Amino acid sequence: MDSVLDPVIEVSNLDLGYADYIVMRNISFSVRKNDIFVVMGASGCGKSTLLKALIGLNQPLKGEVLYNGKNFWDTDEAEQQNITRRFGVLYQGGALWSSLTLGENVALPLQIYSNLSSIQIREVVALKLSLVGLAGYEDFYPSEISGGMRKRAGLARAIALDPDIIFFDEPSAGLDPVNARMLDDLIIQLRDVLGATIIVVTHELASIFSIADNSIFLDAESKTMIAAGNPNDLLADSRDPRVIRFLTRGAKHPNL
Amino acid sequence: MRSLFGFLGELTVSFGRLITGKAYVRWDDFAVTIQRCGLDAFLLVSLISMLVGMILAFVGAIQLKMFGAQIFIADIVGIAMVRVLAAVMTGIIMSGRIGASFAAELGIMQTNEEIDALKTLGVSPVEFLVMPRVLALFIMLPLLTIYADLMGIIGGFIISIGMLGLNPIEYWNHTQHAVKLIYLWIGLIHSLSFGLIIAISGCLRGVKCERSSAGVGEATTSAVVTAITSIVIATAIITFICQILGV
Ligand SMILES: Nc1ncnc2c1ncn2[C@@H]1O[C@H](COP(=O)(O)OP(=O)(O)OP(=O)(O)O)[C@@H](O)[C@H]1O
Ligand SMILES: [Mg+2]
Repeated sequence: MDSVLDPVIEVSNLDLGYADYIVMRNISFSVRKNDIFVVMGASGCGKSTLLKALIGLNQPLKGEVLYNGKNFWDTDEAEQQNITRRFGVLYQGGALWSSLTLGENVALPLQIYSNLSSIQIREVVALKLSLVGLAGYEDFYPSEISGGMRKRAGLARAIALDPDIIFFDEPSAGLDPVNARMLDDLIIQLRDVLGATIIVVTHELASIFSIADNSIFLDAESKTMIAAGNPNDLLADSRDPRVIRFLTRGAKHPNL
Repeated sequence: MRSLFGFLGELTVSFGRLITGKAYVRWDDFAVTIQRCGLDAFLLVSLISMLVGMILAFVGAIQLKMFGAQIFIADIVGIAMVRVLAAVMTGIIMSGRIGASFAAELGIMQTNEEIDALKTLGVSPVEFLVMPRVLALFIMLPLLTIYADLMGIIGGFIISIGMLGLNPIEYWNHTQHAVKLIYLWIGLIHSLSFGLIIAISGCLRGVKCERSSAGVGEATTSAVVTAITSIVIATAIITFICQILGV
């Protein structure tokens, strides 16, 4: 029996990079079931790269990623697919399939993995789109909507199959403050209603403080993680000027 | 090179899954590609192959006139078009039209992370995106080539009758006699291989595209260059094999 305290994802000693270019070294953390886990850090420090190692797109140079105890990069393809099938992913750019309408984008995962009839699928699609504030946009193509709308449509697609683990790459980038707030609420709702575990890459401070249960902070210069914990605690307790500067938008210079 | 073999392997696996009915293929792309090969390329293929037929007739006429054997222009045009030229010209046209667009489409999908999104969903991009394109070209290139055969022969006919004053009935009889069934088969083999070559180079370059607008441009250019180079090499190989087999 899975206990609530069991980690769903365990990352240990991960080295990330492309070919012989190292982006991040020695990353270790674990994500508890039902947590909202935030990955923060400056632009270009390697957050998306880390996410790609978690969702099975880029093999890490070193280290392990365990899902419920199974070593993802050490299992065969069929097992990897069993694991990724329970994922929902919102990519940084939305990554909607451009030759499909929004409705078809959200419907595709359902057509592949569910036994729903096409009428039921249409209903689920309408529901998911309305959940992200895009009701009635089924027949629009990704090129016909704004960047923020694409992001939200990508989110509707990510949650189409009611995934157990949802990955968000900068979900609120490109959204206006009201929509960004709505998205935060939606993320919390997904966690509470679906019982999903959620990993969010973001540097929106408001969002970080209001949704995160736990977090890690990646630093580009030292190429590793330099802090971990609840962001509110980090702000209160951290002695690291880099962390404090980030969490206070560069305003506060703690005298150490 | 290794990525080419990996890609071909994946394509073969996808094809196996298609035959056993397990593949998840986007058939809309198949229909769109068929349409683009058909309607949109018709005019260009007509024009080019008719002109090639005309040029052949002109060039041949000058030589054959010295021997008073101008009527054999019919044989030359018929055989050359049906055996290789129609297929090669169609192949080159389609490399520029369709191969380039495959690379650009898939390259942009790669840049937009659309292909990543398919992978995390557990859908093979080769199965979903590449398969319908390869199949469409594999079917359409032979059809276009047969049409180009006809256009080339008509081009030769127009020059021979209109400008060289040859007898149309005699010309037609010569053509019929010269173009043996085996040449049609050889032409078919050419066009089938070109269909594969164009689709595979376009899709491979697109899928392996670097994630930037410059990357997409490069993928498009190299798709066309790869396709045309491979078409010429394939033609040489097929011609060589025919030579050995004595056909
Ligand atoms: N495909 C790639 N090949 C080589 N290097 C890459 C590739 N993708 C990213 N990088 C490099 O890896 C580093 C981290 O990139 P990444 O996209 O993970 O940053 P990020 O933290 O997500 O930034 P942002 O907040 O701007 O999205 C960058 O220095 C980038 O140049
Ligand atoms: Mg990123």
